[in-house]
Amino acid sequence: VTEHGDVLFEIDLSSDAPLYLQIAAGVRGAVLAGNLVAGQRLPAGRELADGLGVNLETVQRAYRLLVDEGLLVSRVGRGTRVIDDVDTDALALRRQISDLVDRAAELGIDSTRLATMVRNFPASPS
Amino acid sequence: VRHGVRSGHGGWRHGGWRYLVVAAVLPLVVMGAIPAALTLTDRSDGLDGDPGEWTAVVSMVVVIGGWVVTAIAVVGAVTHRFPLERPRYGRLPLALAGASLSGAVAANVAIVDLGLLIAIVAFWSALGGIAGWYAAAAMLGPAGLPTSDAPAPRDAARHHLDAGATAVWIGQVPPSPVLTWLGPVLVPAAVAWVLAPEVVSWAFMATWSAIWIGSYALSRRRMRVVIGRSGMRILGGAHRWERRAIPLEHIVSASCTTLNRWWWANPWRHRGTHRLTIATRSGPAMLVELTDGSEVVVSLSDPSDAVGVLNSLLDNRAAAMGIERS
Repeated sequence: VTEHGDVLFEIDLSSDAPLYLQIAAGVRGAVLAGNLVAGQRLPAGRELADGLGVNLETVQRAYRLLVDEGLLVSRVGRGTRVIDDVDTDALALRRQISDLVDRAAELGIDSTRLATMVRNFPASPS
Repeated sequence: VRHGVRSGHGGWRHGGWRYLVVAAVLPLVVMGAIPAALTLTDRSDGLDGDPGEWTAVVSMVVVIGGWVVTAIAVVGAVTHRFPLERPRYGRLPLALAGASLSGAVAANVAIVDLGLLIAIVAFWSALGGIAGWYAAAAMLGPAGLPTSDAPAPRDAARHHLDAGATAVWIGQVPPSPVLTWLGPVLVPAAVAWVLAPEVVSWAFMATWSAIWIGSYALSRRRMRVVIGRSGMRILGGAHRWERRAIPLEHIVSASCTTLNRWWWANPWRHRGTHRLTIATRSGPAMLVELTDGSEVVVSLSDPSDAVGVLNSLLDNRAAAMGIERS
């Protein structure tokens, strides 16, 4: 998202990652980078879907996921926007957890085992 | 970048001429305000409800108040507190300057005839200046005229898209500055109508109001451009109706360009049948060449990303089809 409000989204159609998760990750990344700011309106679902050549439901599913996470708010007639009091620290932590889960999956470690590893991870001295 | 305005460009090239407009209005306001105030002060019969005197009081308040606010706006602009380059700041002092000028005019219509003369001269001078500029631009071409009033777009490196990746770019066509200016033009007319109804008729006000409401509606109806796998779509209107859809296979290439004032003002060379032009103002724009030899030109605040994405999508499509793109 530029200072003029122009939006650029990119997804990898050949990736194993579901498209809606890629779109959601793109929005999270834009918020983390400060390119999408509190209260800013996201592109209409149909515009994004048509441009990316994906189903409208895919974009709506990504937006719903982010609404459920508390990052976006969607209101009839006002479109979908970033919430006013967005917590970028929590968002950054969520992204790190996501990266950790992905890396664990690459190493053949399932989520249960990963959770156990995290739980047993020695606390920092502080 | 400071306050969202690119630095490193001269004030004149980047909206500095508005300073001159405001500066030119100030003396007129002073010339109108002083006689109005003096004339009112000379009256010794007080305020007895005579509508003419109340008009004079209101006129004086508008004139002096408008003058003070305009002076503050000019000082703010010069000290960069209110950068006039930004529309939200540019409109306000101009509207106030216009309002205070017309207040002076209205006051002097009732009190001093000289004010009316000044207003008429100022109005026709401004109108003649604008018309003369565009006439000169149309006749002389770009030689000797400013090439642009906006910075050239940065280089549009092709946005790298891996095979299998796709992207969408969504942007807005910036509003026309002409529409931005029509609002401030209405303000003087409205003030003059209130203060001097004997000079400004209902028909005049109704006409200006219709023009302003229409232009406001148009300025709110900003067009959007969507560039994606299917090509380029231009949407407009409250419900974002599709104005034009150009499939990717009909596009040869895209590039950044800068529309200078001559380009923007010349309706013959660049608005021909082989060119779709959505040029709302001079400055950065995207030029898209189509396979049938025609072109599409769209004003964009920063066309670099749009051009980069479109060329990358064309690259990927050509690679998928085994075609080499130049």
